[in-house]
Amino acid sequence: MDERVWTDECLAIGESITLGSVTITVIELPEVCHLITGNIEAAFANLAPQPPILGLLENKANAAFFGLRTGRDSVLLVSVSPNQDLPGFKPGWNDAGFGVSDASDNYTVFSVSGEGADFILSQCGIEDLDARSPSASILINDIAVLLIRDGEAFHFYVPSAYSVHMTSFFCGMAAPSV
Amino acid sequence: MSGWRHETLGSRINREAPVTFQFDGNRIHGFEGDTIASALLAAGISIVGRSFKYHRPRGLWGMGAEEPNAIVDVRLGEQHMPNQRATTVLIKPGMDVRSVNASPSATRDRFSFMDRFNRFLPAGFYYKTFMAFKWIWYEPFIRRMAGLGKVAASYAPSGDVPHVSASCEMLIVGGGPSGLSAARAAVASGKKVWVIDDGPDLGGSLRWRGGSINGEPWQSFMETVKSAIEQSGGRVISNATVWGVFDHNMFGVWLRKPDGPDQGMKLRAKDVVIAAGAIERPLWFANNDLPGVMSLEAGFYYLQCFGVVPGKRIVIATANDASYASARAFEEAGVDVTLLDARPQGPDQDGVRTFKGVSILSAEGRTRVRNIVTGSGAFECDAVLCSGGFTPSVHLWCQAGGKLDWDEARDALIPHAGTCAFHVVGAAAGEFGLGAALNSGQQAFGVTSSNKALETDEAYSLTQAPVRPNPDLPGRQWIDLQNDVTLKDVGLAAREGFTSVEHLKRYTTLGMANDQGRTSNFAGLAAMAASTGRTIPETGTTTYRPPFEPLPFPVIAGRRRGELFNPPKRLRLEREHRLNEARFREYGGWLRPSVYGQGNEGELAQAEAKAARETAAIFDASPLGKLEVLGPDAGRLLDFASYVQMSTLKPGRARYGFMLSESGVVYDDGVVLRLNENRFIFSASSSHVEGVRFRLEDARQDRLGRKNVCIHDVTQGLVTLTVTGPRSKEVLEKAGIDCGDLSHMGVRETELDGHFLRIARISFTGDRSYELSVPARAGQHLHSRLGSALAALGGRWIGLEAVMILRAEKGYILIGKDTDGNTMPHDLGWGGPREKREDEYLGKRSLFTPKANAEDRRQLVGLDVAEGMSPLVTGSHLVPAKGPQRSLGFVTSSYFSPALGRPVALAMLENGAARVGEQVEAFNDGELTPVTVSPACAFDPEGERLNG
Repeated sequence: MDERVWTDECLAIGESITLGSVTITVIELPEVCHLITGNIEAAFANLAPQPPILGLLENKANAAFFGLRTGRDSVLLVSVSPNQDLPGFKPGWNDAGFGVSDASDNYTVFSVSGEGADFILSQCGIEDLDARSPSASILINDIAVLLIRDGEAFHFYVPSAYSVHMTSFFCGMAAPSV
Repeated sequence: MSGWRHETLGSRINREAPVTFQFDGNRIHGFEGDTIASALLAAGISIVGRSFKYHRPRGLWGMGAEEPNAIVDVRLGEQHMPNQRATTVLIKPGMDVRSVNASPSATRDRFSFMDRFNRFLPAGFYYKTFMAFKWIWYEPFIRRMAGLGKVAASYAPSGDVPHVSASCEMLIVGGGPSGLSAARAAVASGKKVWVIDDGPDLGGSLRWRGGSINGEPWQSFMETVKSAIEQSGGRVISNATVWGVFDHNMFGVWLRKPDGPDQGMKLRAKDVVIAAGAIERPLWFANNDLPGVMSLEAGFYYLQCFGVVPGKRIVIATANDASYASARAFEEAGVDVTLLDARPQGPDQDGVRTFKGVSILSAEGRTRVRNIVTGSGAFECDAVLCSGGFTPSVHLWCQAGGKLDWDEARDALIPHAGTCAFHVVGAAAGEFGLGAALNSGQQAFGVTSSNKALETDEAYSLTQAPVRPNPDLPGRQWIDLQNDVTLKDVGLAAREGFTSVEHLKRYTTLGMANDQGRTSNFAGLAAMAASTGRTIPETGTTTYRPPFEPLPFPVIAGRRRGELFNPPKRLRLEREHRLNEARFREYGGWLRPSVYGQGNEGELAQAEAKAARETAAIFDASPLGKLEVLGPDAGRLLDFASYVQMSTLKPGRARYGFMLSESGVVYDDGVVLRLNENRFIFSASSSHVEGVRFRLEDARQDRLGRKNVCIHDVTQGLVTLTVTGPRSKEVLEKAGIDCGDLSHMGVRETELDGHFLRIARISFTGDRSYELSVPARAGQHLHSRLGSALAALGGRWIGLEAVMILRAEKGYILIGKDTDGNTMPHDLGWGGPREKREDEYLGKRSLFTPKANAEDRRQLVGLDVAEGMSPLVTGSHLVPAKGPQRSLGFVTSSYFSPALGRPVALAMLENGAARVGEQVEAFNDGELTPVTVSPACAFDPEGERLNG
């Protein structure tokens, strides 16, 4: 192992790589992310509209405000313009029975789109696009990645310390033959 | 052999596209679509390799993975593919092919004299011969002689083989007649089917045997089935090998891509049909290994698919009906054919000279077959095509745990239904012949009204008379061509007691190497059964394991190597550190700066450590775990999970502690910060963040309940820079960061340019230190601001090597380096909580066992060496200065301290606390160095710099 020569970098926000008909882009995050654990119903009670909570490969369908389930009582809440005064967004413990932490910089989001995007997913070890799980979390290269859809695109929420690795991993993939 | 190319036959080759390549230095011409084997055969090359032990000349035998002889080394540009089967590799322009186990070439092998010593080299000779002297005397010679092919030292296959995952409703392995028939029936019953075949297209033996199905040419049937599969949402994959079966119906598939990197596939299937066909058995007579003696089915395949004919005067030796069609085809191609059927009765046919009840006794010729001798006289020939029957391909069935039954009528071991969840159809199930294969595939799913039974005009139903090696024949009959095992070798193994097939395999090497005994196992088994008076089922079979055929390592490894194998986490500020000339290494799963600047790394680390003690330094501490523990029960949770009580910590303060495993062993150490009544930050070691989080989560979910506490890992969302050194506060002030009058172990949260900023006065160096954490997006800004201030004060960025020196001077431990799997907190001088805490905490009970209370426990100490000595070697054992030498412990960390001007070291030493001041010796590489046991803390033991 010669880690000294590993000078690869993560894609910059908005930058893309193309694999045949597939485009992989690091999405600019206008969103703010919060980790919420505990009484999720109570946490979401004051939020309007009620955000959908997405499991594996579920479609956010252009929602600007949604949760990704990461555990049985944990959600990563993603919102575009959060009202910090609402309890769902205030870091710390809420008396209604849930805890909130700012996780806005915890993830780098890769969007994979285009014809043959499923072939890219198959190279990530995902064998069945119809598979569902209440949790959006899935192991890709032993890394817990959150994976949902946005319309025809797939969004990978990659822990930010692995974003360089995922960039290199995507870059070397075989392009789909469409 | 006098191989030649037929003018019109050859469905797989493109005569418009000639291809030239080299074999053993000679230019060979072929066509696009040719395999190396077909091109060599067409060029009249009879010797394609040399045998493993005796270096006998060997020619082509088979047509696929079963090929035992034609093993070649292939180079194409930068690519090097050692030990390829010539039967499976397509020729490409410029390819350089060399035979293996021959020097300088297969035709002129200088080791061919080995065959003259064959009587001294029977099976197992090495077990008897190499006992006389020490192995080291034989080893260099044996190593030079052993093995097939050579891998160039520079050989580095590219890591671009993608691994893809897939799932399907039904997998059919094999696209021959039975596979197609099964696919047709499955699609009709509404299934989505994947058919995988190792040929370039579907059809299996139909591609050379031909035939009509339901009154139409087989091609129409194949196209109809293929189209039905695809229309129903299934897939047809050709040029792919299903090489292994694993748990839960997971299959390893090797997809060969002629124009790009191959692919590895992990395929999960709900239902499975094995239609893998059968492999032709050889016949056994003296010198049956001469070049020119080959499989009849392979000869037929080369004729129809490549237009290659193995000779002009061919003898076909058989004991089954299937060979008659082949004989006719050769006759029609203009070959002088003589058919010898070992059975007294056989089908009648016109046009082919046929002798019934005639078997070959021996083949004659020096470097290729010239004539054969039978009981009815000799026949001149330049090729002998043999068919000793067929062995079903049951590898995948057996890999999945399926058992075999001996079928007397079919003279073969066939799958025992019900012992594995797969269906087996066609020749793989012993259903030989086109009609039988089609019916077998169909019946796997029943015949539906929309899916009528298949009919064929094939004349023969394959019946085969049992053929066995005959021990009464003179001369050497070759059982295993690849490993040079003769019938006599099997007899010898039986006489010497190696009667189990597993022992036979190891004693004689029968069935080993890259053909895995596909053409030899049956004969070996039958010969052993005959030698021991047992039946074949009583004798048993060897174990079938993946892979089905040799496959390139890159297909197994995929892309996950080097940087993509166990990838380290990367710092958000990596680019900034590189601009500062940082050199990176992996520490605790993160790629972090080891030192900054050019030159000797050790010297740079010394200079950095010196600067940190004299002025100020900054290092990137972002990898330190930051686990937020929130809720009214957060204190209770931390009390249970920590050795040191944390609920008594006041908001705005931090406390050092340990997390223990259930066995009381120190799992991790770190600082807990309390931000308010219900909010703590658990700062875990870089490499233990996930582990600590899971342990906390265990306690939360299984002990305290989830209602009043939660844990969030926010490590990767923050950038943490640690400013350390006597002038660290000045750095902060110069950077415009107000840390107030924060005392040691104090914490405050504030803002910096609109972003949250947490300042914790915590030290891992023993000097005044400030850990500054900001959201990662603000990290670059913080880096720039602190960097400018640091430069103005003459400080420097330091890497982890300098931090290691600083913490060792102070006696601060690194879990896993200064501790091991036995270290308990009281071994580190932290006995207080063990003695005082009455409540329950993780690992508590283990701290009071007799072993935990033993007096000879290894404890953390420091070590001093005499003035002028070099630093001790880490890992050196500590032994008593007097008396019998035994290990008292070992050196865990050792550095030269620039601040103290002498080496410092930490060690785990038996009863170490009581030995302070004593002399012991450090033993390394046979050398003893006297050392004095000292307290672990060598720098600022009073803590004035830390607290000042």
